[in-house]
Amino acid sequence: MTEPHTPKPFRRPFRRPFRRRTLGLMVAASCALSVLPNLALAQGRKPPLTMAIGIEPLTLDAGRVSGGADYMFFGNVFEGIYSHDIDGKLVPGLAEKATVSADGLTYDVTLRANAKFHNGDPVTAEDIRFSWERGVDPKIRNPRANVILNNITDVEIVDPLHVKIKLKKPDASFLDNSDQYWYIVPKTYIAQVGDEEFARKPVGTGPFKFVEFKVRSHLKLEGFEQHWGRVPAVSEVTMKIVPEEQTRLAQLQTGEVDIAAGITPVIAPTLKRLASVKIASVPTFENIAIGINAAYSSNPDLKKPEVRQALNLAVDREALLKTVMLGYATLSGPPCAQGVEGCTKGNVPGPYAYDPKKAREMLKAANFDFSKPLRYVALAPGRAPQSKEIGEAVAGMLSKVGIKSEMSVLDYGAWLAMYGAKVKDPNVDLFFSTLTDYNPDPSGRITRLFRTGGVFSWFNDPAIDEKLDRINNFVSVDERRAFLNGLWTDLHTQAPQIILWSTTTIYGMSKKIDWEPSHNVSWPLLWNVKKTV
Amino acid sequence: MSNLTLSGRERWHRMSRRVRFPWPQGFRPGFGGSLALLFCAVMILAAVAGPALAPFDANESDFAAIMLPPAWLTDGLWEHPLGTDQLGRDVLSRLIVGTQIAMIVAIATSVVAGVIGVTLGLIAGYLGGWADAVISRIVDAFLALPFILMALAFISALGTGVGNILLVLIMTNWAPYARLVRSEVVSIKRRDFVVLAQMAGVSRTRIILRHILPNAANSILVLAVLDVGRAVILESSLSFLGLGIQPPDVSWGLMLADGRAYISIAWWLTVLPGIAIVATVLSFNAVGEKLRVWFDPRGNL
Amino acid sequence: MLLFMLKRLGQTLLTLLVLTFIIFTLARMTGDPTPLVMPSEATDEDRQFFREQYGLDRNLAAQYVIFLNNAAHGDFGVSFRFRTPAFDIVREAVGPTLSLAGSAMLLAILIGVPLGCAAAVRRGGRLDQFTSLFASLGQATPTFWVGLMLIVLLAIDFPIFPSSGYGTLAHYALPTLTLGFYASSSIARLTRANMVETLKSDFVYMERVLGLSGWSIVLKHALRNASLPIVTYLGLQFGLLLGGAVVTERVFAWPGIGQTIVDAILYRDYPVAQAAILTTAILFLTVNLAVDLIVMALDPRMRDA
Repeated sequence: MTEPHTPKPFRRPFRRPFRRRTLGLMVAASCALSVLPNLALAQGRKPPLTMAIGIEPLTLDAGRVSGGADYMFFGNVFEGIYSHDIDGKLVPGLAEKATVSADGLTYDVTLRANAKFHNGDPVTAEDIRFSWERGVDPKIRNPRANVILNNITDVEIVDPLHVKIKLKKPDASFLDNSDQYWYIVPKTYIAQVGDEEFARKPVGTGPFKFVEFKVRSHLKLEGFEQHWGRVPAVSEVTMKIVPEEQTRLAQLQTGEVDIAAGITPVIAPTLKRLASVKIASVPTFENIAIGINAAYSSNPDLKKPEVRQALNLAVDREALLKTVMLGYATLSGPPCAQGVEGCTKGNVPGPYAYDPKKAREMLKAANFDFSKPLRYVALAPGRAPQSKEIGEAVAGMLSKVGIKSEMSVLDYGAWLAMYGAKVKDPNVDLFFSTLTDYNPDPSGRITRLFRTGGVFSWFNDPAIDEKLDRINNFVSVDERRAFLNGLWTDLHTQAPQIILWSTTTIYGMSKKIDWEPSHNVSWPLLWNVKKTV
Repeated sequence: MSNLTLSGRERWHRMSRRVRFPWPQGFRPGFGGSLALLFCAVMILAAVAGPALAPFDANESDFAAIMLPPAWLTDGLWEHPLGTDQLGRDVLSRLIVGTQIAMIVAIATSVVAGVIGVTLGLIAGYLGGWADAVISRIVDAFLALPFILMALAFISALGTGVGNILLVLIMTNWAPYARLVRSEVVSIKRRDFVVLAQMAGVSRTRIILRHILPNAANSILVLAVLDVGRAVILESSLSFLGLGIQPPDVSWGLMLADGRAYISIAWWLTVLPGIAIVATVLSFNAVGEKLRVWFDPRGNL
Repeated sequence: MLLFMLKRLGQTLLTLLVLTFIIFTLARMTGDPTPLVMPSEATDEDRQFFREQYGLDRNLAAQYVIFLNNAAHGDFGVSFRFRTPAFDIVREAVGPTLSLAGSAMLLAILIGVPLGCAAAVRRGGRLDQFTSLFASLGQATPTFWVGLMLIVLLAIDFPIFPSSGYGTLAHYALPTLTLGFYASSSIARLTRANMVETLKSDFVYMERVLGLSGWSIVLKHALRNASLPIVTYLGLQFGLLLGGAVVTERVFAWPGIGQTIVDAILYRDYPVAQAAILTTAILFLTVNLAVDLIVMALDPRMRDA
């Protein structure tokens, strides 16, 4: 209909006197035009929304989701049977309710009668069954089938709005993970158009319909008026793909976009000073730590828990949080973010307190070899906030307790290859570590991080392994929570990492926008964005 | 008295008449050239003395003194004459220590790349035929790739670090030497003294080393000095792109890259390292130019 | 003449072949794309399937032959990252890069040539001194720093132009100035050198004797004579601008080929990296070849050089 790229005259962003004058004009104009928004609402016309994002989805096929960037799209266009609310609490999604059997092997799910696909088809039990079949189909090659779908033995259709999901073994994470790992796709539509076309023109059930995607340019979505509950307050969304943060900022200042995503802590204070924009920040489940090569390092000292605890004591998290992160993070005691199952303040130990003297004593008591420098692999800037600065600052703090370090910095690709290598490099002692929980269930992440042989695991402890192996083997939520409490405490004490914090997602937005971003996720869920015209 | 009304240049001339610096015969660097030479000497000195000259440890962060402006501005402290960076590190110390990396990388690059390029150029030029064809095509291929691109690919292949940066700069900088030397050799080898030596049965290696190489030496030296400047820029560009020198080593390009995010609140983090780069490259280029004029007053080089 | 052209063309093709080998090897050396493409939840079989799908499990020699054969047919494979043909991504990036290099070139000629002429005519004068300072500074200043300083000055302190991005004419201002500064300094120096030579030559002396006015000699005769090496140099400069654009594009978030290459290398997206680097090199070689041929056509003396 309209071109998304109508060039707008460039407006001067900073000049004070001008702004004051324009502000006055704007106030006058908005008084005069204050009737208009109501008029627009009365006619049912909603304003369009533009936003600038730094990363872009790499697939539109719900059976091939591969990572965080894809959720820019899937989080807004697709849904599972369960979902999470703005505060990150588990709530029903396409299901009206679900009950689990006493043995934890059967989930009895009743679907919402008013849930519809974007093409108008109702969501039925057939679609639920088909979505499972497609998700485990070897032809589709769903790289994440292992998370929950491979554990399903059957999806039994009771009636059009009622299914029984049978599991091989109990899985307490099932409902949490059904939000991100089991998107419901339309059976009839895919049967009509085929898998290829479905990946090009996806049809989901989420608050937004897919309109158009151009690689490296933009993603366009349209509000879905027939959504069962989360009907968007904007007519359409154009997500412009702008990799450079400074450019996203400039576009926000000139009014080219309403929201800029992916703002780093360094930029936030500058943004706060600008009169035309505001920022919103929400906690996420992205965990930042300095990994310790406890299991495979050629430096045997790292096998000792006292040494790893001492490393934790040697780092001044408060100072780092204040200076390097400018306050935009939440310190962690165990390797989990506040709000993850079993990880709530008071129930788990707090962050290690900064105590260089005690650290030095513990190291000496453990016969730590101070002559051997610790080899630290940092992550180059761009992927995780302040990744390189964190490395530099931590190296400086370690040197204050007498630990020498040798730092090398790898770009994201090389770092990931090192981090997730099949055979872990014995010449690495410390490394930047980040892994995200997509929802309050931590089982997948910590199994990969701490289970012996896990893809990102540099740790080996039979007692922890034993616990991780039965982490999902619970029926009662409360029982599991207590179990996780214990596990978090163990991990805090074992200190497989220098545990730092969970990050904060920061959005810059125009004053016209009223939006509380959903907590705990690092991608924007846009159904609750309001924009005044 | 009258001295005060004279321009710097005139004053320099008067002074130089009184005090004659023992330049080699025919070498007239002039005011600018002498300044450039002096600056190059200071840079090399800073590179050798390095950390000993720096008032602070270049990597020591002071979280109580973050982003202090240079001393002459309000809030600045004379303790940190050029201010501090985002981790509270002393900018002056980092600039001084950065000199070391810049000089080592640049000088080593031009020497090693020079040796490789000169050797291949001599072989191609003197032997001709297949050897020439093969070497020339490889040289062309290397010159056809924008060198920053090639450096990027090499770095992501080899990883960062001073050693690898050196390797990459050598890989990307040898080709111009080879091309220059080849063309020099092609013209020198037709000259009488070479032909005579060949007729007298002098061995190939001897002819190349004793008769041809000395005649090409001047152009090689000029290219090498100019190459130092180029290597400084290349290293800083790579470090700026995040693919060059990595902490705890300090590089001017790295300082610029890190300071970039703070450009609107702490200009000194980007302006000062830039000035260091420009001054260094300017000086080495000026010295190269003066050498060129000295060796080749008619300007055929 | 025809023989010479054929020989030159043959050489260019050979160079290109060597290049494909360098590019192919470099791309493989950057490492395995699998961890970047596959999510961490993926099983080993899924990872292996990805490698098979893109032929990454075969030996390198076989991969090279396939790459060469496909590239000869204009097929550069499918991007690992975007799952679209690699060449489509490159094609979209060529436009912004060429338009930036072109506008920088134009600016460089508009500044460099008049400055060089004027400096040559008034040799040793103020303007000449300024020109030589300008030329030295242009060669000694890293482009990315010029870019940063321009952003501070003209986008932050005096917000006249947008600091970065692509889209409107105003977005061209700072990147063009940045690249143009570098190019104009070397063009000014070259123009000056050639004009000085030409102005010393016999025919200019004759014309002076014949009573032609100074500026008409400069503009009509000397400049025309000095233009040949300048044209040659412009060809070379254009290639250098393509390379210099990599850093400039990074500073100004310009969606050009340089950014594409840097991104592709960082994501181990071999097909895109290969396609983009090869395209750049072909552009460069073509411009050089064209310049050579033009010069040959204009100046028969150079044919046997």
